[in-house]
Amino acid sequence: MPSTKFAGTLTARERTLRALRGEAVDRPPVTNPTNVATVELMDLVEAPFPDANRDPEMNARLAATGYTQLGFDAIAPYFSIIQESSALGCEMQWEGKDNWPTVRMSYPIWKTVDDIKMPSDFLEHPDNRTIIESIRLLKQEFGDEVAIVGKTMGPWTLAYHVFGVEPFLLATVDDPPMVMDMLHRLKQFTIEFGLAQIEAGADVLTLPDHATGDLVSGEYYRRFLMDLHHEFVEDLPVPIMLHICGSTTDRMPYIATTGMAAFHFDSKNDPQEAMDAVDGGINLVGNLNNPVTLYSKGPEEVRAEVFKCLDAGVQLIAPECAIPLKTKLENLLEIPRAVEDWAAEHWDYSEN
Amino acid sequence: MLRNHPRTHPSSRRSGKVTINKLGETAVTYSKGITRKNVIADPLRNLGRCIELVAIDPHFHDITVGLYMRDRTLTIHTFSQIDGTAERIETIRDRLCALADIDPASDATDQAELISQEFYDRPLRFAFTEAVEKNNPIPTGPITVNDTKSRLVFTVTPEHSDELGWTYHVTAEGEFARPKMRIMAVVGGYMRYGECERVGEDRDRFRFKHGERLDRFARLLLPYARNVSAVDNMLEQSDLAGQMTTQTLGFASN
Repeated sequence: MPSTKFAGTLTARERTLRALRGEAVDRPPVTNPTNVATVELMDLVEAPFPDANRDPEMNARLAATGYTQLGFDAIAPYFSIIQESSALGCEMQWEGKDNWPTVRMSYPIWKTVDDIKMPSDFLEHPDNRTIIESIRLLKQEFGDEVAIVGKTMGPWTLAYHVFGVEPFLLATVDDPPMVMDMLHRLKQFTIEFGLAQIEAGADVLTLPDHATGDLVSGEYYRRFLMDLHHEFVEDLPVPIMLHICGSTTDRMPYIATTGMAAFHFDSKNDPQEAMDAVDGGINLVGNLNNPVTLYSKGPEEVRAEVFKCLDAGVQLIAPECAIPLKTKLENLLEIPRAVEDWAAEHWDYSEN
Repeated sequence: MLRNHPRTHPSSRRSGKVTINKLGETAVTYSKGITRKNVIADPLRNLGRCIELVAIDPHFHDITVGLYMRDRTLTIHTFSQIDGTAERIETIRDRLCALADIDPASDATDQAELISQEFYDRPLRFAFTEAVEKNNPIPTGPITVNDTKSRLVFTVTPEHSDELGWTYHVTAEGEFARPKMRIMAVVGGYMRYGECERVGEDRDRFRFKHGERLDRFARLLLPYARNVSAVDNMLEQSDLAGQMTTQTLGFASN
């Protein structure tokens, strides 16, 4: 929704928050629900992986580049999806500068629902403190200038990490009531970590919950997650961007009823079909393709994808997921430029 | 020339302090605040488009090094400011020029100029990756390599004719039942990775575009051309590194 009232006056934070509330903005925000750190940016601020995932100062320095260097309207300091799982005791593979830290899901730490217990030091674990303290540093540095986007993993993703993908998915078939119990118990970690980030200064939370199109159906989403996700809206008092990878058009109508502020969607979904599927029930964030467009193509192709999203009415522009760590900076710089050019050409501010 | 990009970052940045422990291992420690000033937009505008990024230089503090091209000028660039970086970049530039048919710029230690009429994307990317990641002496003399699928030894020899310009003849020595099949495969590898064309009825010759003589590229590409399927797998794995997808996360069925 364009507005001349704010032309050139909105801060990046205001732009982001207004768009997430469905209010008028001067141009669509370029946001960052997941990650825009690259290996070149790690060198620039001397904050390489894996240390930048585990040291608050390095984390904040690297995260800030999304705004200071790339011109995005948001800063997202939680680069990966593993901080809580590390704090819960999962076996980790921290990798090096050029790869993502992962949970070794073939060595699950829990087997039954009764194993799910909140460690007394969950929020004090260094890998969780890293994110919380980084948000505090970023808020201190940037105040209300730019949106600080926290991230707290949803119970479905946590279940993959602590129980293993295959055992958990088999349980959804063998014992659905037990799985519902598992998800409700895992929800406490999502809320605790999310609230801690909000207290530290997060303006927005991304909530990844990987009921991905590759593994589960839209009906699974409705049965197991839709109500839980609705509850998060009440439990976490900031706008929430739900993130689910893969082809998700079949569950978008359900997602649109959760009350979340936005759905961060994958490039496997056509932007126009996604807009039709949510039918105005939720904002969409996305969905610039990572492995092909941002990783291997050039600025012209990036610009074309930005335009395709904006033409479809996607409210917030972003890469579809955490970008490849070797993404070329010229492609990332092109995203805000393309958004500004599109808005200048398509939004007639004089009519407002 | 592309010499106007800053070599130092804002004052808030400080180079890492390099220490060496008793085992001879090096470590770099840092302490600095958040950088607010944009320091990448102008340099990138001058550098041109990024041809290739090597995420980790194993021979210099794991820095990331990029190969950029603007017009016909190539620049080797890193955003790292660790002491000794400029010298390392010059070493990479010199190795790159020894591996690829490009010449060092006369007035810059981080730049090179294309000398071929065409821009050869994949060969330059292979050359750049080798220049950064390997540390071996650059071979000279006859262009030759052992086959990985037989006991053959391939040799590639440049030949000139008025009609075709420079062509390259692939021959093989050693014991193998069907050496011609392997030679044809090697020529196919040059076509795949070097944008070459097959010439002659014996299917044992190729040439680069315009019949240019590009011996350094011919030498560089031979180890890749002998085993296309393995190289393709290597490239696919390399592309997957650092990607976060449902597959790499383990959240996919395949």
